[in-house]
Amino acid sequence: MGRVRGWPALTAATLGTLLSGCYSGMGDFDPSAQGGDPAQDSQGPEGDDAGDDAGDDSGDGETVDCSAGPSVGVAPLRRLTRSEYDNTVRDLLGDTTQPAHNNFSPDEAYGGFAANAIAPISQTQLDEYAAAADSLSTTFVETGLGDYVDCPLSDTACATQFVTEFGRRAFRRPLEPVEVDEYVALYEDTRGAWDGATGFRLVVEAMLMSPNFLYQVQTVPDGASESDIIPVLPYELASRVSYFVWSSMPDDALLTAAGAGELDTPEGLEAQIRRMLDDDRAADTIASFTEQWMHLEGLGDKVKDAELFPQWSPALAESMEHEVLGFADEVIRKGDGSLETLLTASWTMGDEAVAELYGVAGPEGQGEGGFGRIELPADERAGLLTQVGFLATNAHAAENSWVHRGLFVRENLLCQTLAAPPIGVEVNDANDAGRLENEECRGCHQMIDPIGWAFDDYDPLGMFVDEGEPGEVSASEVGAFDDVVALAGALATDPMVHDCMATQWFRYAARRAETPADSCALDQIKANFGASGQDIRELIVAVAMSEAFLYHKASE
Amino acid sequence: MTRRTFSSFNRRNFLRGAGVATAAGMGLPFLSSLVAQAADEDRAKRLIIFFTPNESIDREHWLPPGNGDNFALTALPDEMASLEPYRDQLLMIGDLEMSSRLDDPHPGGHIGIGHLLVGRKTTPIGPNEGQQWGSGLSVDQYIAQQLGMDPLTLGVRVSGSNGNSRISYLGDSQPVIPVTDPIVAFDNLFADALLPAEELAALKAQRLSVLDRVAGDLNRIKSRLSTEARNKLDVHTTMIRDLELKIESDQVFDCDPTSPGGGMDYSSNANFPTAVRRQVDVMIQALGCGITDVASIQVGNSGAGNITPIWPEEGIDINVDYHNIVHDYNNDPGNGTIRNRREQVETFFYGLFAYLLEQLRATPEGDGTTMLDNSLVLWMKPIAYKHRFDQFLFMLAGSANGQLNTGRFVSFPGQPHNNLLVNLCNMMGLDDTSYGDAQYCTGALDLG
Repeated sequence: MGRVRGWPALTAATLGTLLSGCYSGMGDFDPSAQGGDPAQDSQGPEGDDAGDDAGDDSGDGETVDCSAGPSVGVAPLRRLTRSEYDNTVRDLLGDTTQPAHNNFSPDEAYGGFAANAIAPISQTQLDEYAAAADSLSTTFVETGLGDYVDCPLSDTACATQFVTEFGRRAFRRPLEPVEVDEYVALYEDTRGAWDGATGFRLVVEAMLMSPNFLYQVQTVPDGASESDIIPVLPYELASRVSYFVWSSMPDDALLTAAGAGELDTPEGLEAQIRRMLDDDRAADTIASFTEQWMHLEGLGDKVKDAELFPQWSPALAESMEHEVLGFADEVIRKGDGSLETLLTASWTMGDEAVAELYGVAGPEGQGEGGFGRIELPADERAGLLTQVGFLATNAHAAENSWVHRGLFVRENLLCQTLAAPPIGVEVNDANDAGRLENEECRGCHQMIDPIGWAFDDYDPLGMFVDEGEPGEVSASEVGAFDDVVALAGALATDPMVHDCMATQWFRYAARRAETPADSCALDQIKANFGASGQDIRELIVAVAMSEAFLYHKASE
Repeated sequence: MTRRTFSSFNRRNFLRGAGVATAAGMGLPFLSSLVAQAADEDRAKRLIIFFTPNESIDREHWLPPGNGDNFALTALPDEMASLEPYRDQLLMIGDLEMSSRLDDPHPGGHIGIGHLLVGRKTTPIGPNEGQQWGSGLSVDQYIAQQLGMDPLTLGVRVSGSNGNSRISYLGDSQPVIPVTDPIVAFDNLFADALLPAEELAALKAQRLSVLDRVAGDLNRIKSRLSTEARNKLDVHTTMIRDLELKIESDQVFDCDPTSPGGGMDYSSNANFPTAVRRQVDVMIQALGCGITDVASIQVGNSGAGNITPIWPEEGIDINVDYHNIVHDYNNDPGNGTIRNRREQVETFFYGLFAYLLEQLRATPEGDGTTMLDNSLVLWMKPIAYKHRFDQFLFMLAGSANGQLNTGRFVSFPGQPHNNLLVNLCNMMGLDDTSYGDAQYCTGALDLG
């Protein structure tokens, strides 16, 4: 892996030129700016003419008066993501077969996280929902219905009670009387043609295909205009909170609290959020965020050079992912919750397989699946950035990827979005020191590759090989660093990284990119995160209690 | 041959009186296409689109031997040896440019996939506008709508759900999601017909009851939602109605479909070549059974970073992903190892196309012709050599029911690729004179 050692010294003047040549947003590069220019992204499917919506009234540079009442960006209607669907049918039906993970088409991302918020449904997806609803309802009536009803399935009163109670959970709000009638009519018609059990099955099947189940419904109240900023209704807020904190449906306690008006006060809302954060279901959200933020979804599908890395296997990939997610959970839910620990810990939650890659002994007192805490060499390992799952994901089959590893630091830890390579330029994500010699490439790669070089201390499986070079995070407080352990320590105390984590969690929670209209909410979230000493749990609470969560805006 | 009843959906028969509201700004599927053009009876019987990933190899590699801009194919480039048996039924089209892409302000090398069948600039979404969806109706969906048919949209390892991974669209930011598992594709088409009649009748009645309830729920909540949300639910409602019509209809076909068979993970890199062939098999059966006349298979996505040709049984064993095989070659074409990899992967993907042509030719049509004779097949890639958007290579195959003068190479430097989309419409019996954004279209190519 030969390369040019070092790079031209950057003066303040040349730095500005280089960065503005790479920065993708409008105007001068501002290293403190978060996340490029998401304001321009609000056009959804309703945008008539592609790319012509420049007249966005919340454009760049406009300041929002945070004392002038709530302000929030436009949120499109979205369908459940695959993991939300699977968690929901687990909690609703007791079904752990993960039909969405196994059979559904991929989720559409928006703001860096799965959202299903832009494209409307496609026929293939409708077929997938239909097949899942068929199979889930059949299994449920055969094995799970007994938990709901202890009355005769041939009895309309029994069915009415079921529709009312099950429907409240499936639709995440009480059914209106007319809805109860309609579903009972479906039951009665079906019972007439077949039998009561079939009637129950079709009720469940239809509810699982209903828009009330598949979408995160946000109603525009009577009398309100859809461009108004409207308070999210209690049951819809309950859904927002539970799909954020649990990645799943609300439980009975949350629905009851919503119905009793408890979510209308900050104290009541906070009590529910904290209760839910203490529940094991919060692990699903920690895992979902971490998996997506760290780009781990593709790890199992990665190909590694069989001669160089004979130990590579789907099972090893699974161990690696399990390790990262288990570590994040251990820190956030069971440990001190701190971002600094996530970025600097010299221990992890591994099994024998990953311990071998780290060159240390496996865990003592193994927990689930052979995973347990293992101590790592502190001069080689520091938190998430040095975990084998991250390093293997961001590497090619036989060589490391300076670009992928460097870009992660820029985009996911510093929230700087770099411009894509210009049209017609030969792009290459393989390692190539020549990029910094090339005028067309250098503007951006100066910001990426010198970070990636330091990661050459770790091979494409994440094993420590000590071949890295000192690096530099230009235009950042971090600046020059000796190795990735030092980099991780500097990132952990960098306010830009703190703010970026707040932004990432905001995007995950809102399932969209932030807009200038969200800046007041986002500033408050960042302030609360800072005040907590960068405790991720407090960040989650701050996001769920922010204006962006409590209010909805359907269109500009 | 077993005679079986299949659900079919000749939509024209259902279109009359369907009366579904059209959502403003959203492309709706078939029911909304109330005005079907009168298709020419002499049209190609079928349109088949075969997408293969990443860019074309350099022009020196793909240009067949010959002189000028219109000559007979006397031989094919080495990498296309597998296509030699079909040389007389190939029309190689060189040097078109993707004008809508060249005019698109968005950087990023691999976005051409959203322009390919749409012929318009893309619509950006997400932070940094890093993700682009196609911004209009793609020509495959358009032609199918005009013919009153449900197109078959298949894929293999298309990965993700973003502008780098979809070729077909019903409208702006309205991707058509391909079915990527051959078993699922087969079952969607044929599973019902393999059920005993009584069981099928009960199943249909139950499904219709469920869909009726779902349609009712959609209508009920729509009135309380924003315009943006209502538009999405209008599409959803139309999809439900389509499914209802599909369930209600019965049509008899003379064919005996064979399931591609399970027992393997069709989504894996290891089984990628097999999955492509099984999707071809399913598609041939759907076409042969008369279920549709318009089908596409999207093999991989734009960048193909998730395709690594470690397939020793296929005669190719390269431990570098397709994306980087291409970039390595572009950076260092003089390196023998790198060049050899690039040529091998190119050869392999032409071989998959040859499999499609082989299956088409092996399917007789009853009058002494084969499915290949009567079909119009389009081979395409989303970007040209070195991520450029000029000097594209496209290939047409099949005689399109006698309309296409094959066995030749033709070159159209500087002409927008939208023009070729017009040819597709015309050969499928539609009299369009422009496709996509009219500013990137100057009319059908003179294919001779």
